[in-house]
Amino acid sequence: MLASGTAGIGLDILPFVDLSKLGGIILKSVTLEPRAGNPAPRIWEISCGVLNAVGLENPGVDALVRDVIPRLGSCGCAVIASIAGQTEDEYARCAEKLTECSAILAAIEINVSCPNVKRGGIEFGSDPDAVSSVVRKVRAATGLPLFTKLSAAVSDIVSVASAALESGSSGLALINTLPALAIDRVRRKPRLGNVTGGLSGPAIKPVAMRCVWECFKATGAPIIGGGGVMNASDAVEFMIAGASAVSVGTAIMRDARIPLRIVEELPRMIAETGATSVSEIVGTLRLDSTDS
Amino acid sequence: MIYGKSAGEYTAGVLVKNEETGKNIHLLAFRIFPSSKNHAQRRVDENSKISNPVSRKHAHGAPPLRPYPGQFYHFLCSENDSFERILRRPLSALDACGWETECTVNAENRSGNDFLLYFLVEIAGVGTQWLCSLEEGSRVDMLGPLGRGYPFVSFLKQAGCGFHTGEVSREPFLQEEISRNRDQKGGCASEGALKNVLLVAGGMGIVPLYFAALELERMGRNYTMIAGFRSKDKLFHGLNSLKGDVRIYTDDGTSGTKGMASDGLSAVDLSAYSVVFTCGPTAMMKAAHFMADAFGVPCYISLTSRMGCGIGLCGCCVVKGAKKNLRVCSEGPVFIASDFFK
Repeated sequence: MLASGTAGIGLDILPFVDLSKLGGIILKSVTLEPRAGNPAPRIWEISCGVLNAVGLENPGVDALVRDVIPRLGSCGCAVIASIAGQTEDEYARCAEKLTECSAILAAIEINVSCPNVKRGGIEFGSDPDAVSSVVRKVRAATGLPLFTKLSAAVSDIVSVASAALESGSSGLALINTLPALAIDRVRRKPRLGNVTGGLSGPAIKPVAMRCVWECFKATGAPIIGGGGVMNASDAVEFMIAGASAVSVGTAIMRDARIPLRIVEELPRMIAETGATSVSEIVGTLRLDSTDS
Repeated sequence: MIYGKSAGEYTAGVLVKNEETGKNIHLLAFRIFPSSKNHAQRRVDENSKISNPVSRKHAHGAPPLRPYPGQFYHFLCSENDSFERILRRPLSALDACGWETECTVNAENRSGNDFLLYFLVEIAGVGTQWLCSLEEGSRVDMLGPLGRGYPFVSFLKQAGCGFHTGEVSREPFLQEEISRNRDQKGGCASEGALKNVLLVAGGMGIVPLYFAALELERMGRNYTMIAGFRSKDKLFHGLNSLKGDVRIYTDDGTSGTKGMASDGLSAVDLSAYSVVFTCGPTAMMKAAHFMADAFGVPCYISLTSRMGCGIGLCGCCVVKGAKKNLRVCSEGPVFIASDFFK
């Protein structure tokens, strides 16, 4: 799947990626009202990773429902919309409006983990009670399957995950970018206009993998796993940890052909584990002491 | 010929020239190949239900897309399977040859039907450092041409977009281009509007404007180039071979007139020009915009910004415009000055 954010709002990617070959696309998070996002610069590269602070710039849920989602009806893969907000009601109203597109949408992702907005976002995602309350309101507003996207920057991700699932989330999306800071030494200034940003890319893969494994072990819920997936081996590792779908985000910025390459190489990568299908390897991390 | 906007193609460029032309500045030339060699993109084009008509038409052994002045290529600046330097680096094209136009920069390097792309790169960090240390013969992954360049309507006209017949194009970006050019006072809706062009470059801003100057020469148009540099060692020697009116300024007076490009700007009669193209420091572009505006002459600027995907997806290169946010990679990098300056 294409992770929320780097796949854009859904249409600009069409010349570059054959969506019909992929599992799905998670659209960039939308809010009830349009948002202008954060000041430039919004991106900074580090070793094996990227910091970004776009700040949920988006045209608003109405524009998505009116102009974008109807044009994705024939794209040939699952279309998942992502929602964010500053209040529980905003989340619920977004979900309600998106339900108009339930013929096209496969699910809604609830983004309670954006590190780059002043209100909402990660503020919700770090508190199990707040997550529970948001998910419950969204659950009441729509019949679509819900995936709650969580942050790893919490003391106990399993308790947040459990709260989301008990409140009606059908599954989990793990993980969002990690709050981070990069500094220009000479100028003694932050590299990003928003001061802090979200770290993504291979640098966060082990963190994401640990989150997927812990949440799968504790809940057994369906998980869209991602964080630094660059190739098919990464994808299979996430599946072993417990992800039944894998999302690709930062890699799109490097090369939009990577998702298709992963799909093509997946059978070989799975075969090397001795399994024959994705369902045979999901959540099969072996903890026994034998070598083979 | 079809000239794309943002739907560039992935291509492997072979470095055929790497020459240090100034202090930390390299001239790089890449040989690129017909699109038929570009298997991954072709597969996308053939199979995609909603693929882009621009790239699809080019998929079968046709020439690679040709950039026009102001467009850029997004370069992978590490080995393909490396996780270092994950992001690409955007570089503005300096010249293109092998299509219907002859090479101007170092034509002697070209043989047969090669398509050559030229870039001038200032080493600014680890990515450009890596690129400029490559040896001739190295293969580099490039994505382009990307973005919207200066309003060389002739390029769009050749795409059969009905500029002169009033036909509405199926390409949304061309519709924008048409209306944008029509809306502009004294606009560039026809080639005639490029009859006398003022080019104002500062530092590495010379790159797209050198390309523009070459293109104007090929079209037989007049132009004046005002080019400012910090010092002689930052000067691009290719300026010597331009046939137009070229006025060089250096901050320290080591070459040309001592002063900045904005000093050169004060010395010209703007009413003599039909349009201004500028690229360089924001203050210089702003000065060009306000002076041009006072004479009712349209002014186009080129912006740069820290970039992510380069194809309009991630929202990382967005800058605040006069009225709305501007995606530098896909809505620009060239903008009408009043879209950016208030």
